[in-house]
Amino acid sequence: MARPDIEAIRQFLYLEARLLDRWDLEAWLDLFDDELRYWIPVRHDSIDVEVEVQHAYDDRTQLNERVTRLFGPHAYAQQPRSRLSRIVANVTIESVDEDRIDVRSTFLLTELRRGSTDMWAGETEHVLRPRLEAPGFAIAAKKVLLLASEEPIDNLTFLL
Amino acid sequence: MNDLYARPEQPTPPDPARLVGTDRVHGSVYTDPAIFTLEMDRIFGQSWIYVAHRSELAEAGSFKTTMLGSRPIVLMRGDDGEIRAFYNRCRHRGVTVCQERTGQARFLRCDYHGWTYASDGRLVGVPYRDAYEGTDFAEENLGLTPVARLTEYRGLLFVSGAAHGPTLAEHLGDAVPYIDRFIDPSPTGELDLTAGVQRYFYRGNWKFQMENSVDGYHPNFTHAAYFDLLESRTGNRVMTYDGRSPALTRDVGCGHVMLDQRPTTGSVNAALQDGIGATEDGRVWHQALTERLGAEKADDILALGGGAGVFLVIYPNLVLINLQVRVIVPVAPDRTEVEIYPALLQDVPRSINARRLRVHEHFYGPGGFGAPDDLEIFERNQQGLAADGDPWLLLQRGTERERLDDAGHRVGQATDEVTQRGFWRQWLASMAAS
Repeated sequence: MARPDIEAIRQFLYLEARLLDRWDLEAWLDLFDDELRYWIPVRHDSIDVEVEVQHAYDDRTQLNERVTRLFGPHAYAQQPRSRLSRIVANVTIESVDEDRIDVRSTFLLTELRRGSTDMWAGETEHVLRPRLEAPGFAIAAKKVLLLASEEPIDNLTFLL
Repeated sequence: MNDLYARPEQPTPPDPARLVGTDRVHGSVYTDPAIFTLEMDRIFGQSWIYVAHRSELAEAGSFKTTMLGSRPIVLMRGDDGEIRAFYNRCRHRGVTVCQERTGQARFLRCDYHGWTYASDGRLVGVPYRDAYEGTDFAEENLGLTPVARLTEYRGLLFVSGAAHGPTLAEHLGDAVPYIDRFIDPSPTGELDLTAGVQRYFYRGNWKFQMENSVDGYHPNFTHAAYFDLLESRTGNRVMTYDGRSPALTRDVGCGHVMLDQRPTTGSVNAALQDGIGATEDGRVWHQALTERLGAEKADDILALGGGAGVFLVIYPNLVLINLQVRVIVPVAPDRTEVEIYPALLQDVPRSINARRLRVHEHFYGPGGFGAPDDLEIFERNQQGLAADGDPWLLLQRGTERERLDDAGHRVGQATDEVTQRGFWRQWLASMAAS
């Protein structure tokens, strides 16, 4: 495959960030491929999901459920809702294969809930599939290496 | 001017006996800093406190740091293979000698002046030692200070800061068969707690999480979102926590209390693990259990999806719940950390443990579909207690229908507060002791 346009990838990641910040999660789910992985490891040096616990390790069904749950009337951990604002930066193309682009980026996310501001930072690894139709890519896998993943965390119910 | 140096007058410590009744507790037990200080001294400084699992300290030199109430401690396996517990404090000037949560080292060295301790705690290195000549300095008296007692039960390591008092066996008492139920699904008879640790915190008192872990009244409300989801996935509503559920609450004494879901067929765990016994790997696991425990127990374990069928509080800081070892770490009256160690089984096909982890993650941890709603409630609880016009919290559910079972243990229906009353009875006993 020809080397993809880095600017097009950046714009795609900005679009994703905007949908997440606005809680437009139905549209966010549409960015994913039918077969997907949404993954937040606990261990920084994680190597084997079969013997290591994860904060999230969702397939399509479970990610849909995660979103459905949050919009139901009883998801108290998001009542009141976290207000989110994230910056995505340091976008690099790690490798390009047939029908697969591996992209790495960093994020800084500010969460405001109940008058208290929390900062979340980390690195994201996207596996993207090129698409002819807009917005030009589909997310096959998203792995978020959260800086605080091994520290005590009060609430990780919003989407990263 | 001398007043500047006078000790401030000590306020009279609160009397715990006036704060806990047979069917109610006073809100200040969750909010008063003086109560928290007493708890750190009388409960966490004296009782048997769970601190680690043997599998976390697998090799010579393996160490783990943790807190014994407000006191930092370090657990270390010596070159002789023995696990010991020390206060994490250099004998010279009191600096911590171990900084990492876990790791492996030949020595523990204080980075301030270089005092060095062997893995068995002996002081083996003091720089420029000649300056101590003629003083009463003696290395043999200056090893790391050991925590008074450390005892293991089936891989679970408990310490006590008190040199005397009940043995661990006496403390665990009638809870032992239920601890066994949690460990028995592992074909070797021992668990493996090396899957990693999920940590969360909440702005609330530590006892909220202990009481909540065996509160059969809250799931249908706090976790309505989860049960809605499970119903849409499986087509069945979990009825374990209904007001007419045959599931039980039980108090086996010493503050050890449980939610016993075995009388219900629809335990959450079994639902999510449905059919695991029919897989090839499930059959291998079942066969190994049958050889060790017999067919009846092996069948029982598979039917419960590999769980104990019981959510068990081991007073004061350990919960064996679902597929996890949960440790409660009090930080302040209104701040608590919780460590979650998913329990892996030894010598089972890989898919069995992978499935346990995924079932666990579905509900638990800061990003799970259930546990974060508990944390939200704990924080609302701490906030609500500030409104102390009526300071009492009510614990009388099922008082009239509480009965003694064949073993002489208090038992009630799933949504009764037998478990909370049992916890508070022991709290009062341990706060009264000194």
